[in-house]
Amino acid sequence: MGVDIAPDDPAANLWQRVEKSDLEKIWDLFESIPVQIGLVAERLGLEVLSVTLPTEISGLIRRTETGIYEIQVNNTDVAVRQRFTVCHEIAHYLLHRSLIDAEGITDNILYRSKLTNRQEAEANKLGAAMLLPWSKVSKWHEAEYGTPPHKGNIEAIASAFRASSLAVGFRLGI
Amino acid sequence: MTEFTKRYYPTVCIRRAEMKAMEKLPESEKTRMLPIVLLAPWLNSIEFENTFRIIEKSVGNGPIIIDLDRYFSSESDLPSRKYFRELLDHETGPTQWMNLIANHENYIPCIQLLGVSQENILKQIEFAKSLKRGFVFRLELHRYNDIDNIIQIVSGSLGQDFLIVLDYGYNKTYEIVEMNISGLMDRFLSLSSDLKFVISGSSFPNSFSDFDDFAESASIYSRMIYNNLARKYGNYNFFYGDWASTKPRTYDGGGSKPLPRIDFPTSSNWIIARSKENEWDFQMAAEMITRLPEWRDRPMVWGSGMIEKAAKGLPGGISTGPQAIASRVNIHLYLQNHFGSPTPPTGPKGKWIDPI
Repeated sequence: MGVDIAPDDPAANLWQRVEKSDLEKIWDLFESIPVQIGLVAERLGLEVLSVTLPTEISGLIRRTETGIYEIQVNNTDVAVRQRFTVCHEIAHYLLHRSLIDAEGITDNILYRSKLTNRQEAEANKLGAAMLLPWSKVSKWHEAEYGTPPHKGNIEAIASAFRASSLAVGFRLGI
Repeated sequence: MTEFTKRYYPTVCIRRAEMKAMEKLPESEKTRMLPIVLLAPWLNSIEFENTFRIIEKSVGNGPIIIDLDRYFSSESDLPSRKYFRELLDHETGPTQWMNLIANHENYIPCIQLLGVSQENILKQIEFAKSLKRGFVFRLELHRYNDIDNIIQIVSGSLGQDFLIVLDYGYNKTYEIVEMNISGLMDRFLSLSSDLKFVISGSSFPNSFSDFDDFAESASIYSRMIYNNLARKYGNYNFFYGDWASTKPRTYDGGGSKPLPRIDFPTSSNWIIARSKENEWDFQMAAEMITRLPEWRDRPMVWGSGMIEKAAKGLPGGISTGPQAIASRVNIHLYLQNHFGSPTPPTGPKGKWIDPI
């Protein structure tokens, strides 16, 4: 399946920074809703683990001794938050791979880490873009409300796409 | 290869707390233990199939010992309840039971004994042998008292791959329990010293006023009973079991709404945090737990995380009684699964399953 990045996708510039070979592995998964995030990680060769982390940490991504990239998700977080955390860490892998070492990138509950705020904002934006494919969100919103997506319907969009309100907020640039 | 090795044998019922607590344990933990699952209808399900589904979701597809939850009681006409009653029937139940077991490849059957004819018991044993999964004689000691009969049955099964579970039910009179079990063990061991045993029971408190403001903590009697008996039988195949910090079902009626309470298991005690006088809510009770010296040795498992979140007032932490119970059961299962080992600073890891 071809990779067709919608020009009006607010995350278009980030998608364009991702290796084309990576996008080709996962692009078809954004056709079905809710997006199967576990499968996105699997296609990229990432291992995703459920772990009880300290409450102030939502997740992390690290490069193991064997060279595999491992994502850890705090299993005490609610389901939609866990889904976004996985997307956020995948986004780090796609955008900031060279910065991921054995120590890894650990994201706190505000999705802040040792990386710069700009890099974290990029991971938030691309992570949200995975959970909420722009063409799907636009079509769904148009069908439901007859308008382009807007912040008045954050909860409804979140529910339809099994995303957190936080993720929808990132997607809409709020 | 036999599944009946030295490991933890928790008895779990088809109830929210146990199912959630099991679901939140990683696969590696479930493989390490061998759960004894007591079948009953799942919540208000119309079909009994939902029981099998929730077991698969929560406990997994690995080997599990299966018996009937004889504490469950319902006169409802829902198909799930009717089917459950059919399974209990002395005459026709054993055939239904064998069909149920045959349809689930990971189920290790408990031979149905209560009120069942000798012929039907032997049929079940032959059937279980043909499945080659092993089988279990699970004796609920307060219900089953035909000891001569079970001795005879066991004696006829020597050399087969089976386990004897001695379940003393809900009981805090540990000296009497130990005496009774000791008497039984001696009789069984006179048949063969190779027999395999699990000792199991439940003692989680029924009332909590004695524990107000950390006045005391509750001993895990099942551990005490096992440890005491292990002095005598530790050189035999003698394994630990318990009711995963739960109690058998009761139908006492409602009563007043219980006070918010957080229970924090250690290896040998349940520390109970509640205060009537100071009107602790879940957050306060959780915060008091996290101030205890024992908290420093907590295992990093889901239940501990839920307590910590509640203590910090974070979303998703414990805010209801059922969540508090599930958290307790989760911690208890982990600790008893690793009894005798120091608690590692990091928790067990499991494959993440997308919760959509």
